[in-house]
Parts: sequence; structure tokens; C-alpha cells
Amino acid sequence: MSKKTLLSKEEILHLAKLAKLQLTDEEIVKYQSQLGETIEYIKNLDELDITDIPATNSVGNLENVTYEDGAQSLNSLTEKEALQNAKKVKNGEFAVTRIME
Amino acid sequence: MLLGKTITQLRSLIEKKEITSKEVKEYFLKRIKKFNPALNAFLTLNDVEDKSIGDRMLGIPLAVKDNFCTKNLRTTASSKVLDNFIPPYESTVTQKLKNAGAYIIGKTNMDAWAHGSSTETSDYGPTKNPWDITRSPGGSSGGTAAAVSAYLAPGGIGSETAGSIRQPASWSGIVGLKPTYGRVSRFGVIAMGSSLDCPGPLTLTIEDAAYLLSLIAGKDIQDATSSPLPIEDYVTQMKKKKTYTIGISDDYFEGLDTDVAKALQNSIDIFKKLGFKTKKVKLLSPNYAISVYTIIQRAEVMSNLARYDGIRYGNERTMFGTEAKRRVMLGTYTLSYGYYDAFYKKAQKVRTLIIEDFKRVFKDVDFIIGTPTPITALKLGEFSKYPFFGELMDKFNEPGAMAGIPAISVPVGLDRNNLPIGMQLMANYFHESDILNASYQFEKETNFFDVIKKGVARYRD
Amino acid sequence: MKTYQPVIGLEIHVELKTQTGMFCQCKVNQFDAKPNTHVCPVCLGLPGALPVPNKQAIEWTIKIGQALNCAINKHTKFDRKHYSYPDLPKGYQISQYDEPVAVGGHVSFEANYGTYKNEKRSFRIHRVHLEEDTGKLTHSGEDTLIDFNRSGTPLVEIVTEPDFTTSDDVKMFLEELHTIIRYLDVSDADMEKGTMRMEPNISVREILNPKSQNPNKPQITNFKLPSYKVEVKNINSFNFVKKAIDYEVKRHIEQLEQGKTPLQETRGWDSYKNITYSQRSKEEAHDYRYFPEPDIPPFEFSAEYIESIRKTLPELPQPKMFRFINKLKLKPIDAFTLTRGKEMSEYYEKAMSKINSLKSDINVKSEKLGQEIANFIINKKISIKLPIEDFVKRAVEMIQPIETDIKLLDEIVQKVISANQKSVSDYKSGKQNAIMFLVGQVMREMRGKADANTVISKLKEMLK
Repeated sequence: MSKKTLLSKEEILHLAKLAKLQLTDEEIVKYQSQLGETIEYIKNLDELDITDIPATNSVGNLENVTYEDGAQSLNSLTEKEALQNAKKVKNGEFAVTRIME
Repeated sequence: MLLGKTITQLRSLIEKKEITSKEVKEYFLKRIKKFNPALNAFLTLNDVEDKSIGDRMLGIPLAVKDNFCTKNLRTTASSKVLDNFIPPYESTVTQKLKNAGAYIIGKTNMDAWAHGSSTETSDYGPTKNPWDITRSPGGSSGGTAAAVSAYLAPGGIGSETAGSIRQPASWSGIVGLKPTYGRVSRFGVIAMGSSLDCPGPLTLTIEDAAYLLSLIAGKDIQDATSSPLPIEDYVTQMKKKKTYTIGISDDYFEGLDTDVAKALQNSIDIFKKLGFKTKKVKLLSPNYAISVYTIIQRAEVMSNLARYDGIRYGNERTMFGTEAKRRVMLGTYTLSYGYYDAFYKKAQKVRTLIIEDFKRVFKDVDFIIGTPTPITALKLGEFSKYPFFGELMDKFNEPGAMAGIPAISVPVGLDRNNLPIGMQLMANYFHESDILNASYQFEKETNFFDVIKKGVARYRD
Repeated sequence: MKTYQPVIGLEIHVELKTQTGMFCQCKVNQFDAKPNTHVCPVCLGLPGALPVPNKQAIEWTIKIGQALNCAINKHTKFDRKHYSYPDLPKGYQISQYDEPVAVGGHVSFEANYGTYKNEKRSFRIHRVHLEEDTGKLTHSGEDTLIDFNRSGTPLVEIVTEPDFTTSDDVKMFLEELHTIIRYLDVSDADMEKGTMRMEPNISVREILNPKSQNPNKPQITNFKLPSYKVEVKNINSFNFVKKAIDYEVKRHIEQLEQGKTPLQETRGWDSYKNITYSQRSKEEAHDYRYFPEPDIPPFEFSAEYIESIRKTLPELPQPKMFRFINKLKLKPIDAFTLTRGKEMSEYYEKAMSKINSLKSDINVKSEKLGQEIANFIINKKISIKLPIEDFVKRAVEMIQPIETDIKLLDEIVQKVISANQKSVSDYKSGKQNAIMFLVGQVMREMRGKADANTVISKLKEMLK
């Protein structure tokens, strides 16, 4: 049985905050061990020698893909379409509860 | 009698005026009404009258996975977060199908956000395997697979990140093709793994898969990762007389259920009978691909789910399910300050090793043979026991997924429980023609051991 | 008594004036448009939308890098920068992290050249990169409203090294940078409109050995940076920049004198109260979780390509100024003023070129001629909105008075005065402008053979 990593409650809460997720107390405990288990497994990558190996940041050998400025939009939305799925709209704008600066 | 008629056959019938598009559409709508309540393959039926512009698909219905944005037709990715989302635009794949005259009969169930291999993480209940409704049809394209398997549509579209087309095709006993990454546009596909997602067809025959691929493949200026390579005439290429060399890698034979192992060996014998050669090859252990996949996919998932803040569309993030939350959390962890080099960067480097590994092996062989999964369909509820279970189940799919190479799953028999067994062929980049060719020969020789025929027959009109 | 020195670095954002978006084809810079009328799935961050980069935006970023003497990276890519805010539709901004377009440049100039305030300066540029702008927030009662028209507009970020030690330096630098950007014609760079934004990062350090500070040496950071820095937002004019920095520096010194380290935080500038205020009660460390953007393949530029863009750079303000001084023999302060605007300096050269082709008819020494024309433009004696021919005509007139037939002038003036009694009485009753009508009449009668100033003097004399 490999060494078990257990994330601390603080770590879980910090991650949840960054990810804008709300967790129940149950979930916090569950994730502590489940994430730990996964982290243990993925450490198997340390078995490989990757010195001088470049990272694959893009699959497919494509490069310099761009579009010409001023090209016609194929998907421009009307104001109605843009707003059609919003929960709260005010004066043609998306609305949220006022943000305190 | 329309039961079991393939897309190719239906096209012929309609062209010969032996049946009309309307009759075909109504036929399937009737079947969906009858069988979908038990199977839960479809989430949303399309009652918007689509005017077929194209003359190729002739109004023939297709089932489309609910992660493809269909304009004015509800799209949920099987998550309550998008419960009432009505896309104001069309995905490239569905637009191409519409332009070709296909009728998108409905949106199918999936694992929520495509996170899973069983369609059980759907917020709308699992889809049942038409072969045994106490079992999963596989995932995440389980809804489309079940729909085609039970002949609620003659074909359909799914998407694969790492196994999500191959595995449900295998468990549901149909054909599932995962094209090369970049062969088919991702524009309008609700993103799961941006460097992994591949839309692809699920069908009853190889010819149908080749045909649908020819309709949806091609460069899309709206997807910067789509390939500019010209598409081939897949149907014509498929019928040419060719022999190939099949690579045998021990890793893909490890841990297989006895019946699955037998069926795989049998498939190799069939290929030999067809004149194919075999050759032993050595590949990097799939266990590394599992780690690479876990890290990269979860990082991309965390990122791709960041836009769901409930402001411009959708419901609040509190409606994310457990699996989504778990993946987001891990993705956040591996990208967070101080961990990037140890996890993400390392994974991308190992990814390069995996890619080079396949390139090396494909110099000597045309395909690598295996099975999409070591087992047949699991009972519903088995998956949720392990957080990592899905990944381990998908280990035969993850290496190819990380590399972005194409693959197919075809039925090769039934196991002792009368459940379908799938065999997969993986090929080099953009060698879909070869995959389809070899599979077509196999189909002609075996008729997939009547698996598909038997499956459809379970759902008589 | 302790001596303190400010340590200031700048982050400047320049909105490019492309026609369409950084990653989509929505029209951008539509400042008067109704909210959410120039949006699409991409810039609205809809599920399934994908970004495709704007070629012009990339080339203009390279151009800016080159104009700032940076090295252009042959290999560059985009990265995702994650944070959560309602104006950020994807929950991440597509930006650049470790492989930006340009690095390691400098802006060197002589400010107020030719005056007793002539200051030679050089400030280092850390990097120049390309990203996308966010939507716009406005507050309305209990709500915050979001307009996504601006979302996805190409935005160039320029980061300097912390080389600035005074607010005057910062102001001069910004004015020079502003002029350079406008010369490139890639942005309106208007601080009030928000097409150029800047945020200073300010700290203050104690100088241990004041004697070693040499004000004439190029500013190089060869000391240990203070352990904190304060970012100030919401500054939207060059004047406010100076005020905000001065205020902050004073505030930091006050704290340091008490033995306290100023809190590392983000503050906002209040232009009504002329103070900065804390924007976050607790500074949240930003964990942007950068990773390479998988939806956009990377960029590989050949040396030829980079050079081809460099060739499109216009002559920049400082070299042009020195050329005006050395070749065109202009007074330094006038060369400086003329070259503050590309249109103005180009107009000047066009005018000079036209005049030189008529030179044989003009009676003025060539050096003085250039200076005279410069004066007309700088002092707005003749409008540069005129077509070049008209400008030149007017200029020639003003330099070389037209031979006026005095006798004929007398006659015509008398004639015009008697024929236009109303204008005469208007003028006499205080309407100064009425004389211009009379001038026009006289000029017409004289059929151009009169110098305007002479006509005016004559009329005034006659109407006394």
C-alpha cells in the first residue's frame, strides 16, 4: 500500500474558494482522501526520465493560426439573443447584485 | 420493414422513393416514444421543424449528444447548471449535418459535462443499456450509444475525450469512431478537455460511420485547432482492397475478462484470415497515460467550467454535481501556485513521450489492436464506488487520446451474460481511411457476429 | 534625517484600434453603441465557443515592441489566466504568461528638449504582451450592470521595470510613450476614453548612502527592492498620475517614518478628494493558475517576418525631432513641439516640401523659412486643417507681403466704405468683426493684389 497523501481541510477550502465551489462538510472530508488518492497515483510520472523533453502545449503541429482583421462575423448575436439566457437583465445589460469595491 | 435499416439503406430507399423522409422521421419518433422512457437515452426531442437544405441525408434522423450546441434547441450537457440553456448559435458539426439534410431528432443523455464512463453522473438519471437495463451503456456518450443500439435513431453523434465514444460503443454493441484530434471541428461543443475532445459518429455499420465522418470532418475557421488537411472520400477509400499490419502490444491484453480476451484473440485470427500481418510491438505503459490524462484533463475541466457563473446563462455553480466538483478541485490543485511544474508541466512532457512512442510504432505497423475496456457493461451503481475507477477502466483509451490519434470500436461478440464485447483499432494521425477500410473488411467477413442485428431485434416495433 | 526614494514601476494597457476583436469578428471600439449589441458566442463566453486570434493585433503588438526597442520572441503563445469577476465571461482571460511577444526594451528620450528643463531619460521596458479586454461594469442602484461590447477587444500590456523615482519622470515617460503609440497609428491611446490605462506600482525605500545617487546616469535598479508595493488603479489622466503618485509616496514615507511597512495592496485614486483609498480589505493573493491556451496553436516567427514588420515602423518622435533640428535647422523647442504629433510633423514636412518647390519666388533665407513655417503651425497662425496648397499660399503671403498698389488701395477703400454704410456704422458702434466684411470687399475689388494686413490697417485708418 503506497503512502497515502491526505490534503488538509485548509487546502481543500482554499481550492474550493479559488474554484468558486461550495462544499458541504461531508464533501470536504471525502475530497481530502479522494484527491489524496489521485495525487498519489499520478506521482508515477516521476518514474520517467523527462530531462530535455519539451512539453506538448498544443496537439497537432499547427502554428500561426489567425484570422484577418475586419472579417465578417459568422455568429454575431442580436441583443435579444445575447440576453436570452440571462436570469437578470436591466436596461439591456446583464445584472448582478451590486459588487462592493 | 424499416427495423435495423442503416443510414446508407434508408438513403437508398428514400432516393428510390420507396419511402418518404416524413415517414422515416415519424417511424423513429414513434419508436422513441415507445422505448425511451425505459432507456432514458434522449433528454430533449426536437419538435422544431427543420427545413432540410441538403440532399444527402434526406431528412434522416440522427441522435446528437447533448454537449453539441443546437440553435434554439435546449442543450444541457446533462447538467442542471444548464437546465434551461437555449443556445443562440449552432455548433459546426450540427450545422454541417443540417446543411447535409439530416434531421436532428433529439439530444441524448451523457455523463454530466462528459465527466464519466457510464452516463451515471447525468443530472437527469442514467441511461440504461439496451442489452440489460440494469446495466450502464457506457459513457460519456451513453445516450447516443443506447439510442443507436436500440434503433431509436439509425445513427448518431457523440464526442470522445478519452474513451467516450469507443467505450459506450463497445458496451452497447455498435460501431463508434473517434477521429484524429482536429479532424472534426469542436466549435460549439461544450468543452471538457480542450486538447482532447473529438466529435465522432456512432453507427450500425462501418459505411455509415464513414459517411457521417465525410459530412462532419474538415477545417473550420472558427476552430483554430482544426486541421487544414483535406478530407478524404472515406466511403470510397473504405471499399478498396488493402491489407495491413496489426501491432500487438502486451499491455492491451492485460487484465481482460476471459470472454473479452477470447473475443480479442478471435478478432486477430479473423484479420489474419483476411491476409493481414501481425507484429509484436512495445509501447509505454498505459499507466503513465492515466496520470497524464488525469492531470491535463482535470486542469482543462477546471478551466472550461470557470465560465459557468450563472450571469449570462445557466444556473449557479452550486448546482454542479459531485463528479464535476471533484474534477475541478483536482484541476485547481495541480495548477495552483507551486504545483504547476510538478504536475501539469510534467504531464505535458510525458505527453510528448507518448506521442513519440506512437509515431515510432506506427512506422512498423498500421494499427494497434485491443479492446476499449477490459470488461463488458457494468451494473449501474458500480462506478461510483471509486473516484479513479473510470480512469482505470479507460486505460486502453487514454494513451491514444493523449496523442490525439484516431481509433474505432466494433462489436466482436457477446459474453457469457449476453453482453456486447468491443474490439478497437488505433491508427496513426489522420489514417481514418485505413481504420474504416480494415473494419469494413472485418464487418463483411463476420457481420460483427450478428451482435448489432441481435441488439436491434430486441426492440421490435 | 532619513532620505527616501520612491521606486515606481508602471503597467500600461493600450487598446488597439483594430476593426474586429482579439479572438472573434465582433466590431470593437464601438464606443457609442447600445450595450451588448456587438457580441458573439466567443466574446460572451458561451459554452462551446472557441477563440481565433486576430493577425493584425499580433503584428501591431510586435510593432509596439519594436518601437520600444524590445527583442521580439520568435516563439510566442497565449495562456489562460484564471480569476473570477462578472466582467470576465470565461472565468479566465486569454493573455500571455511566460512567452510574451516582446521583452527587454527601453524608452530613451530628451524631454522638453531645448528648454532649460531639458531632461535626458531612459526607462527600461520589461515586457510587452497581448491579451483581451473585459466587459464593462457600471453600478445602478442595488445592481451592477455588465456590457460585453468591450469584451474581447485587443489589449496590449506594457510593463516597465521599476526605474522611476519621481512622479515627474512618470509623467514625462507616459507622454513620450503616448506620442510613440500614436505615431504607430495602432491606438488612440486616450486616457480619458480608456483606450490607454495605466497603473503605477509604488513603493518607497530608504536610501542608505545618498551621495552615491547620480541623477545623470540611466536609471538602473541596482538595489534591493522594498518588500511591499502598492498598486493604484482608476487614474485616468496624466495630471492625476502625478497627484496620485505624490500622494502615495507621502503616505508611504509617513508610515516608514513610524517604523511601519505600508500594506501591500491595491488602492484606488479618488480624483475628487485627491486621495487614494484601499480597494480590498484584505489583499487576496492572486493565484492565476496559468497554463498554455490549448485552443490556440503557438506562434513561430521567422526573422524575415519580424523584419518585415520593423520596416513598416514610421520615423519615431525622437529621431524625427533630431532630424528637424539637425537637417531642417529648427530651434530645438520648436522641433520638440512639432514632433509631439505625427500629423503635425508630417504636415510640416509636406508644407516645407511644397514651399521649397516655389523657392525661387520667395524672398526669405531658407533657414529662416523653415522656422517661420514652424511658427505658423505651432502658434496656430494658420490652420493645419487647410489643404496643403492653401496653407502654403497663406504662408507665402504672410512671409512675403504682397505688393500693394497704394493708390488703388486708397480708391477702393473709399469706394467700399461708401458702398457699405451699415458695416461701417456696425464697426464704429463696437462690432469689431464688421471690418472683416469690408476687408473681404476690398480684397475682392483689388483682385488679390493686396496684402491683407495692409488692407486692414488702411481701413482702420480711414474709419477712425
